[in-house]
Amino acid sequence: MPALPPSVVHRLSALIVGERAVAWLQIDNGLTLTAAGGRLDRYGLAALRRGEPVLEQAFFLEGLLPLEEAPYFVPSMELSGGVAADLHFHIENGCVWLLLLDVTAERDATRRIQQKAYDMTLLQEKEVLLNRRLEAVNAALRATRGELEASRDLARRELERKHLELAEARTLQLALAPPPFRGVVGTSAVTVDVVLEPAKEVGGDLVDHFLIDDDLLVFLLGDVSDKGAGAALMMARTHALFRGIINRPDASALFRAPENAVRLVNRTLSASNASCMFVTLLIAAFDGAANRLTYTRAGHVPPFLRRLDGAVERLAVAGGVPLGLSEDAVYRSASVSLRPGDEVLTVTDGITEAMDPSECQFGEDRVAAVAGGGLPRLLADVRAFEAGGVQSDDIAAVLLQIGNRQASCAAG
Amino acid sequence: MTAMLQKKICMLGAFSVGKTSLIRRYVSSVFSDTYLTTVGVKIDKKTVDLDGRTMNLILWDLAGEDDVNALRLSYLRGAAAYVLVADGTRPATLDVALSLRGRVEADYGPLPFVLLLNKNDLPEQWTITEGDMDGLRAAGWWVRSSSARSGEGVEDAFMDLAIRTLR
Ligand SMILES: Nc1nc2c(ncn2[C@@H]2O[C@H](COP(=O)(O)OP(=O)(O)OP(=O)(O)O)[C@@H](O)[C@H]2O)c(=O)[nH]1
Ligand SMILES: [Mg+2]
Repeated sequence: MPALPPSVVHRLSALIVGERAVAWLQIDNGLTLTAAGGRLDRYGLAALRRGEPVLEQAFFLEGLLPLEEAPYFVPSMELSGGVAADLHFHIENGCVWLLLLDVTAERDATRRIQQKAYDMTLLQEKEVLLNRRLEAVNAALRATRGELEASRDLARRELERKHLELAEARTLQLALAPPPFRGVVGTSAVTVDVVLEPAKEVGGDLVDHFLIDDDLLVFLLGDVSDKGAGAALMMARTHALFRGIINRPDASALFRAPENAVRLVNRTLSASNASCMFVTLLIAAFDGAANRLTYTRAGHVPPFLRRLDGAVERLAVAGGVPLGLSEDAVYRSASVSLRPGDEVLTVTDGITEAMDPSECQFGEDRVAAVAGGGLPRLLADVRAFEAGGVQSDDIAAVLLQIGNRQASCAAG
Repeated sequence: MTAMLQKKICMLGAFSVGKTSLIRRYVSSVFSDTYLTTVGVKIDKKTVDLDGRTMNLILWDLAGEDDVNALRLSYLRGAAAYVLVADGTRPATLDVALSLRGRVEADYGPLPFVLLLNKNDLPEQWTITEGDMDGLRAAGWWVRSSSARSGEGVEDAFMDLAIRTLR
C-alpha cells in the first residue's frame, strides 16, 4: 500500500478516534498494565490502575493473554453498559497494545436483522410442529371415524338380523291363530272368526278355538300385560298350556267347567313367572247340545252378547284375577243361554282403547254399536277411528255366531 | 498476594436455546420471556467459592448458531471449559450442539464441557427422551436438563464445570 501523506493520516485518525471512541491499553510481558488512555470510560475501564496485573482489572482479557499471534482481532464484544467494542491487539517493542473501537451501532443494526430472521425461523418451526400435531390429530380422527363406521355396520347388520328373526317370529305367531270355524256343534250351526294383529312385529294377544267332543266348542282370547318379544313368548306359552290340556283324558270335564282349565294353566304360569307379566283371559265353552255358553273372565274386557233382535248384553261376571299373578288364585265361571242368531264378540283392549288423533278412545260403546257387523267391519271402524295414526296396542278379537238349528239334525 | 484464580467459560449452542438466559439466571438470578438475540459475544463475571478458594468465572455468552451464521471458533481461544446448550423442546438444536462439540474438539482438543438440555419447565413440548440422554452419558458426556426459568440445574452445571477446570 502506497504511503499516505501525513495530512491524510492525521485526518483519518481524527475521524476514527472521534467516531469509534478509541481507547487503548499497553501491557507488558508480565501481564502488567503499563499505560492506558483514550475513551476508557466508554468501556467501563476508567478506574484502571497502571502498574498492576491487567487480568484482574480487565477480566475480559482472560484466556487472550499472553497473545499467541499478532495482530489479533476479537469482533463485537459487549462489555459493561451494553457497549460493544471490536478488540484489536498488536505487539510493539515487546509490549501488547490493545485498541478498543466502539461498534455498538453496527452491533445493534446486525441484531435487528438477526432478530427478525430468528423470530421468523422460530415461527416456522412452530408452524411445522403444529402441522405435525394437527396431522396426528387428523389421523386419530380418521381412525376413530373408521371404527365408528365399522361398529355402525355391525349394528346395522345386527339390526337386520333381529328384524329377520322378528319377521320369522311374527309368521310363527300369526300361525298360532286358528282359521275360521264353520260347522255343527251339538245340534247348532256355529261359526267362529278371529282377528290377530300385533302392534309391533310380535305381540302379546292370543286367540284360539277348538272342539272338544262333538258338542263343545271352546274359544279363548287373552292379552299379556306387556308388548313385544317378551309378551309374545308369554302368549305362546299360555297358548301351548291350553292346547296341552286338550289331550288329557279329563279334557272334556276341564273345559266344560272352564275355570278348571284356567286354574291349571294359571298355576303353571304363576309358578315360574320371573318377568311378573300377567295375562287377562276370556275363555268360553259353548255347549251346542244345551245351547249354553259357560265362560270364565279373568280380568278381561267383558264380551259383547248381541241378541238376534239387536239388544247387546255384556258377559260381565268376574271369574277371577288375570293369570300369572297368584298360584292359588280361585276361578269361577258363569253361564248364559244362547239362541240362534245370537253372537258373542270378545275383544282385547287394543280395540276398546284404540285412539284417534285427539287421544280419545274407541270405547266399549262403539264396539257394542258395531257388533253384528262382523269382524272386518269392526276392524275397518277401528282403523278409520285411528285415522292413520299408529296402532299402539295389539289387537285381537273372536266372534262366535250361532246359526239356525242344523237342518239335517232337525230333520233327523 | 497469590495470582487470582480466573477461568474463561464459553456458552455454545443453536440460537434461542437459552444461553443468555442461563447466564442471567446464574449471575443475576433473573429470567425474562422476551427474546433478545446475542450478536458477537457478551462478557459476564461470576465469582464462586470452591472449598475456600475464590474463583472468577469469566462467562462468554456467544451468539447462537444457525444455518447462516456459523460460530466463530476463534472466540473459544483460551477457554478453560464450555457449556453446550440445546433446547429440549426443539430436537434439531441437539444436533447443532453435537456438531459444535465436534468442531471445538477438532480445534482446541478435549476441553471439559457440560451439555444442558434447557427449558425443562416445558414438559408438554419436551421431545428429548431419557434414552437419548442415557446414550450420551454412556459416551462419557456430562448431560443435565435445566431451566433458566426455574433455575433448575443451572448452578450445579456451572459448579461442576468450575471444579473440572481445576483437574
Ligand atoms: N420456558 C423457558 N424459556 C426459556 C428458557 N431459557 C430461555 N428461554 C426463552 O427462550 C428464548 C431465548 O432465550 P435466550 O437466552 O435469549 O437464548 P440464546 O440461546 O441466548 O439465543 P441467541 O442469543 O439468539 O443464540 C427467550 O424467549 C427466553 O425467554 C427456559 O429455561 N425455559
Ligand atoms: Mg443469547
